[in-house]
Amino acid sequence: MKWIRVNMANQSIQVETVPEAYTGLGGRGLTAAVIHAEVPPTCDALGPENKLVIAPGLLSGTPLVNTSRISIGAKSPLTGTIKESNSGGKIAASLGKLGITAIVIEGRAPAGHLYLLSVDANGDARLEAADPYKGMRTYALSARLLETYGPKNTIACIGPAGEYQLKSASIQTTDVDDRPCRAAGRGGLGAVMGAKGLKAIVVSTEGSNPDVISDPETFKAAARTFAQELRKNPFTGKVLPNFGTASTVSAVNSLGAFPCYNATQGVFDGWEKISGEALAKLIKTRGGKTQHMGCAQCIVHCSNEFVDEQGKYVTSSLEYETIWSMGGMLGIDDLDTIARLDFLCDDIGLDTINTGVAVAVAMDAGYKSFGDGRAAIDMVEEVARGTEMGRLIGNGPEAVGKHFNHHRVPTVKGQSIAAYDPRGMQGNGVTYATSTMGADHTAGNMLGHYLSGALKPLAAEGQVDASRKVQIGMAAMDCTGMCILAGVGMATKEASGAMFAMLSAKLGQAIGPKEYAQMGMRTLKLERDFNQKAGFTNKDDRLPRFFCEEPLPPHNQVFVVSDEALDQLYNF
Amino acid sequence: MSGRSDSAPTIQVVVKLYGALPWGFQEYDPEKGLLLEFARGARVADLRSRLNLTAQDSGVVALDGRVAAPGDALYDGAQVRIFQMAYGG
Repeated sequence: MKWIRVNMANQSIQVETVPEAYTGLGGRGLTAAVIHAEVPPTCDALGPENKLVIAPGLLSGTPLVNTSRISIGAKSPLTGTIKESNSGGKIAASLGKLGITAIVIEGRAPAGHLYLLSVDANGDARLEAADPYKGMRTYALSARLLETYGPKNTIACIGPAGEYQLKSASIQTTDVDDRPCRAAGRGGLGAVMGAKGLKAIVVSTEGSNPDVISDPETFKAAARTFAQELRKNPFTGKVLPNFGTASTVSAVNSLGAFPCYNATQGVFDGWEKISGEALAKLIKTRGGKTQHMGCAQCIVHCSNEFVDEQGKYVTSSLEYETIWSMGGMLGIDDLDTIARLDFLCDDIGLDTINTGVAVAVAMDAGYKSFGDGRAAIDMVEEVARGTEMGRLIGNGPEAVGKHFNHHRVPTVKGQSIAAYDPRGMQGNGVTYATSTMGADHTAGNMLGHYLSGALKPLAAEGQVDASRKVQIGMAAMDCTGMCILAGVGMATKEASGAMFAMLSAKLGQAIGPKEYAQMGMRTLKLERDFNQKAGFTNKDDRLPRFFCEEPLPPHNQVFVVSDEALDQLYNF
Repeated sequence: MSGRSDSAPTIQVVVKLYGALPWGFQEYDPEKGLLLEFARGARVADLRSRLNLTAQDSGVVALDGRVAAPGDALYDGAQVRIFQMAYGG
């Protein structure tokens, strides 16, 4: 397997075999290991000492379905912590098929210059000047690059937000239809890429040199079982294909945990207008697509293609978190406005979650009114124009809160919460507070625990233990390249058995539940250690005070998990 | 509340279905939901049984903004929402 190091300072590229210290690692486990070993924890995240690590998962590039998540890691300019943000599309599978374990971007290009990294079908990498692409938005850029390099390529790129090095800047990846609508959104890693002077990475989709599978027959049989389990599972086999992740809107509103109007209400009055059911109906009426395939090798097809009244493409895919951040949080119940905001974020290269919450804080502070869709669109457009307000919005909710001297800023370690209020789902609050990466729902979402009745969402009891288990499980899954939605399929004994069999067959060593959990724990410990060396302590593992002081209707509950309990999370 | 007398022998509940669950009810109107009548003292398990929700894809019943257990009592005028399991987005 190849290991590619790119030095942006002198534009040199080194190709080597995978260093021994990193063998057997993939995805988040690998990004954590590299950053922990090679990046000074106290460095400037936008300086030359930081590194941007791009790593497909352990199972990416294999024949297994739904293994197209690419992990991108660095020290985050948003949180100051270590960060892994992952994205779908085609790039993870493409790198896996090229036999590339990781691309590590180091140093910093000379000021004012931009470059582009291309990896051809032989896995050979080249760095080229990209100054003509300066300022380009991601849709136009991707189209231009695919014209130049040919259609059998996939792209990861930044938009103007990344070039401005704004803290909510994303890295966009192209989907199966070659649109840059998939995002490694969280943590401002687009700003790190921009600071390095790297505008885009173009990767051939024609690789045919994947890593060897130690036991291909066992792998194949287990992969078949896993796919069958995914199709049988009601969530991955029926709910997601038909309603997408937006199906979650009804569940979370029904629990009173949908933070809206900048987290002052737990049920959004207009939620049935922006639900998964409403979205699917509107898309079908207009001739758009549900059951859309967004990522390579996906059999779930949770994606959609949102079109306007004339049937013209607006965005893909409109997801639950964005419907919340650009909808409920802003008091907007119009799917066309939300879809437009989603497109703008993808095009400018912005995390939809952090950006929506930044706009929500501005509205809550009185800058504009909740529900004013035009104002929200204008604010996001300003990011691309680089105005003062645009830079505030692009730097996230904390920057906006500071500017307006507004206290209600729903962030942890600088990163906004996602679409689950910690007062209505206390375990998600535990995850937000203690995650190694700021408030991040993908680090340990507890929704399934509450809907299944396994845990009471409003009580303190049991939340830390449950969050710990989920955080360990998610860290392990993020090492594999498996989509977390497909990972839900692991709930059955057959599917989890198949997953362990595949990991064992791939790596040539026995991986069972214990080893799988160890993979997650090892990753979390590396990340935690990096953060501690960067100066973070238990005192940083807290929610903003307003969550503990302002009750959330309709349950009128505050966050009740104690600091002492939160401090037990890393006891493993 | 439905405005019915407390001494009436039956109760009425409005049930709204989400996800693919309405597909099992030809006349289902998402605006109105289903108006169902039960004997006083009926429980969530009776509701599940009436709607013939299968074990594998049975849906989550939410009553008053909380996930209801099969033994939880229904009451006259209750607004019930039933949706399929979700794990986030």
